[in-house]
Amino acid sequence: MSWIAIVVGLAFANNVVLDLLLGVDQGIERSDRLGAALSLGVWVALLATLAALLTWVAAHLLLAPLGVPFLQTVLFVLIIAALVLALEAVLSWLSRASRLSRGLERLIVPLVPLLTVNSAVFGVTLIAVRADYSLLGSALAGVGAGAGALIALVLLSTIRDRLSEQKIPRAFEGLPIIIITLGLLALAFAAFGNGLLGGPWGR
Amino acid sequence: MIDREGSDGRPLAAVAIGLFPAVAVTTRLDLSLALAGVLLVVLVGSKVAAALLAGRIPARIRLPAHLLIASVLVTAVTGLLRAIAPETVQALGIYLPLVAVSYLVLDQMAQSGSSVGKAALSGLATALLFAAALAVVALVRQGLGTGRITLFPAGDAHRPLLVPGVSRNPLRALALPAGAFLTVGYLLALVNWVRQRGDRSRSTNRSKGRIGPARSPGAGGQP
Repeated sequence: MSWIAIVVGLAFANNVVLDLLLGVDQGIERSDRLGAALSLGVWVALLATLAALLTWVAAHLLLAPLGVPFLQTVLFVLIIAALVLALEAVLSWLSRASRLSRGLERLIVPLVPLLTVNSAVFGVTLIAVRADYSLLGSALAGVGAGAGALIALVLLSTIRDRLSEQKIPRAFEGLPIIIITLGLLALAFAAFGNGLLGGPWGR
Repeated sequence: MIDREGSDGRPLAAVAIGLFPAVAVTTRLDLSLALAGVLLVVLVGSKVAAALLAGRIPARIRLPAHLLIASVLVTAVTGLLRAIAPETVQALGIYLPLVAVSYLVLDQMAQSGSSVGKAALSGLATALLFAAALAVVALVRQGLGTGRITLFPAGDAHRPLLVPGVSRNPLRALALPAGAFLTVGYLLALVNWVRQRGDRSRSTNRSKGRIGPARSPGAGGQP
């Protein structure tokens, strides 16, 4: 599988949120404002890339030589938790130095518990290991998944913004209309898989 | 922010959001029931463990500790399931380990007090609600989307049941990932509608069935 196919696959044809249903729970929760959706999407992209790299190293240099592949779930979850804590610590250390990173810290701190248990981040590490990607391929899977999450979140939050001005039947208010919106977005994205990207890159 | 309403009161919204990403396996009823069973064991086990450890874990590392407990339980259940039904583990794919970071499990662990019995009971109740929801979604998606219902193999009856009238011309869109969203969304709206009718017949004016951003009175529109 070519590297372009990995990135484009997870961003469009098999969009992490709309096709693989990863990270939907937090996407629904954080897509009420564009800013919130953007910050979650960017952090997911960064974290998915780093996590895919680190879990590749852990899977190939630790789990495989020791012959304990069944510890994958435990180890990957802990790696992601440690990564989020480390990111938070680095940002809070940097924030004493500059004003820019103080803003960054304010952006990530409320997201820390969410990012630790984000199913898009954990899911992409599992996908990369199961598809037996190379180190670079895993990192690219992280990039593609992050881009996919960002695209889906931004689309959802802008549609929700428009919907907030519309009259919606009472039974559909709130959660049902958001989930149905995601369904229609997913239908639109299904076209990428079969028609638009099926030819040039294959799957 | 969506008001997800915790395990007290009305847990339906929490379960509805917690259905993702597990709802990806609802293209087959047997897989859905297997995943619901895994979640039941993990949810009850991790709630009991959280109740036993309540107050002994520093607040700062509570989330990683809860994650560790949940992922160890998932690993144990996966091993067990692999011994009984290896093809089910294969078919569940990444959605089986993803139970470890399930919103439902971690939310329930954070809420559990120090009473083991109460924790086990509320975990069981949530897991059963989750199983029922997943099974209904699977019945709709597999039944209408493919015209077949896959049950667990019993003796010679290994073939999936055919749904009369639909099996020749299934609504294929329901079997797509988009169908998962649409089914959950419309089922949730149906539940809301039934609940609102009940509320209205009791002539209460509270809109407690509604989940979501607060609207100004009247903007939502009484029909």
